[in-house]
Amino acid sequence: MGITESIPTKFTAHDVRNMDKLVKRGIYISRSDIIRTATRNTLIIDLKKETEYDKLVKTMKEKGDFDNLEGKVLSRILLEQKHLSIKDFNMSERKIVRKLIRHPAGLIKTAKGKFYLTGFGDSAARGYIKGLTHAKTLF
Amino acid sequence: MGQFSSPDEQEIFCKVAKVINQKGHLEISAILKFIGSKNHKKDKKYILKFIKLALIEKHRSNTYELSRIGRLIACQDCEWFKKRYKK
Repeated sequence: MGITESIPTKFTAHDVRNMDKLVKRGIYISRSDIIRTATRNTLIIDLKKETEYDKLVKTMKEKGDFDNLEGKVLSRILLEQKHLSIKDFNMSERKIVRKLIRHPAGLIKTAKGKFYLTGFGDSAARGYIKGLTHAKTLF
Repeated sequence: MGQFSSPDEQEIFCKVAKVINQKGHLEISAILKFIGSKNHKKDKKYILKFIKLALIEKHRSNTYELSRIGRLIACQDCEWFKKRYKK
């Protein structure tokens, strides 16, 4: 978000408490001043500092992790309420499912023709969803 | 198989993921140095296991990087990735 863009009017309780402290000290004249200054400061800080998470998500975006079918298939197995079988996937997804079953980390296991996620599979699916959600806020 | 066998193993994986995320491709000796390993033999064993599990992949120049699945797992399981916003 750029500094020239509109400033949000809602703040967290933590921020408001800090503003009240400043008012009590007599540092600021009005609350609107505080709001503007505090928002500008937080925007500048946010622009400067890049968290590890941001860096990872940017790398994932560059390498095309979010466009890849592996993550989509894993998240679909996680999110669908019924346990999926091979018939529930299209041709390209079936190839990926077969690949994931053979993955050395053992991401997916099969029982009675249905697919289940293992510990690693579950983590990977949740990581994909979290990363994708965060990427939408970044790009 | 299917999950980390011990909390130690998960901790080492998270440290390795953090170092690789910060510094890029690294050799095993460099990874061990940067994660602050006290027991090189044990930690190297864990790293070789991650390579076997395809969570870390090798490049031609003998350097190692997180694989696609490795990145997704690190995103979910590691504490330091969960700190999305700095105060």
